[in-house]
Amino acid sequence: MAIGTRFPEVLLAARRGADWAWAELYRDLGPGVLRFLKGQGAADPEDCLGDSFLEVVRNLHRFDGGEDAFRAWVFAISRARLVDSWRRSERRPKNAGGGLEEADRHHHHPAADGAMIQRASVSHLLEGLTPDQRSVLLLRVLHQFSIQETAIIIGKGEGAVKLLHHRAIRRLRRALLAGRDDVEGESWAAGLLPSLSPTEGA
Amino acid sequence: MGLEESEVSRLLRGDVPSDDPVWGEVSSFLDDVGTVYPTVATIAFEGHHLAAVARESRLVHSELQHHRHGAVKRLFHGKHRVFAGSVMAFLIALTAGVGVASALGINPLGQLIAPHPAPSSVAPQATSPRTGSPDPADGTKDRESGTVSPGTVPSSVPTPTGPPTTPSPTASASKSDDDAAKASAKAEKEAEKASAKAEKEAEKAAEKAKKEAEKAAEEAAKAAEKNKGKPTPTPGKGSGKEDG
Repeated sequence: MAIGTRFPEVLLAARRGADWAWAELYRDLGPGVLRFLKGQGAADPEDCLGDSFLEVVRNLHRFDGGEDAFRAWVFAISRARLVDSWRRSERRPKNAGGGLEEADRHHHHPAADGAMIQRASVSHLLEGLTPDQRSVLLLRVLHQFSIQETAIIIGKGEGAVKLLHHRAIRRLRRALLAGRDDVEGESWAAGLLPSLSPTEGA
Repeated sequence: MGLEESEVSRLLRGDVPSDDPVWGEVSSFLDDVGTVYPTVATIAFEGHHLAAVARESRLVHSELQHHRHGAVKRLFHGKHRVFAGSVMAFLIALTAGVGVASALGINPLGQLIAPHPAPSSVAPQATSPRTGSPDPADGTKDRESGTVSPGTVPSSVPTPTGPPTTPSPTASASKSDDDAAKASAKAEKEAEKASAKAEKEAEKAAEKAKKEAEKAAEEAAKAAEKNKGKPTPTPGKGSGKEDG
């Protein structure tokens, strides 16, 4: 959902401090940013989203551009806040699933097994990527950003973004190939189940 | 195992290469990423976030306005103060100067463009107060050098009876207009003074002459009365008595 032709008007009103304009910008970009933060394994994605928008408010007078550029700029700020939160907690993102394992343990419903396996396998594979590779993959696949916009968001050159993207896909392919080889005749993802629910076998 | 950009684009679009089944799995995995991380509604904490954003927005807006006002104020503080004051004073002086020059009928722009123009008016001519008549040979003006020799006659002075004026021989042409105007006014005053003085002196002289004539007439009358009863005196005697 984009604001469209009204964007310049909304941006101008936001610059003047109009609450309705900020509400519109938040409702337009907030869910996407939150999805990105969760995908990146932020410890507290909601807080990170709030901090990101406060930063947007503080720096809006420096921004100049259209709606696409604004979206990329907001995501760049969100990623900077995410990196700050990683530094504060002095740890790298461990689980891009954002507590999927814990949730799976508590809500182990037979009807949801298929979806849970899928989520677990996806998060397990994403864990094998570096943070930059994961960022590029999620920004390109989930949020449909171009190479140029992705480069702006992660603060790297376009060539570096292409390289990261290719490496991420090759690594995924290797992991998928290894899964096929390891688990002959049965779904390799099913092998993840014991690790997701260690108490279940006991 | 090189990966072309076109292949990546095909993967992102969901076009699976038919020759390699693993690429199909990669493509389906990328599709799954979208389902695993769905768009999350922010309604639960939207109010809290928007309140913070509105508060911050008002702060930033007021800060920016304060900063803009401060920038103007800073211009007149510290080191900038002297500079800004000098510039303002210069502009005021320039404006006032141009205004005065325009009021006097001098074109200031013309003065700036042609720095050494021939002066339009000349200094007052020196005249002798005794004669009261202009003497063109008394003073000359060197137009080429732009200097005025002492005693030049102002053409605007109708009765050049004033004392000789001595404008500075080193007066430059650029000053000549102002100097000439001042000198002209001065010469006029002096001419009026001299005229008044001359009139007074003439009146005094006329009165004196009148008194002397009256006195002479009285004496002549007295002498005539004395000579009434006497024989007609010889000129030598008569004149000798009168003289005595």
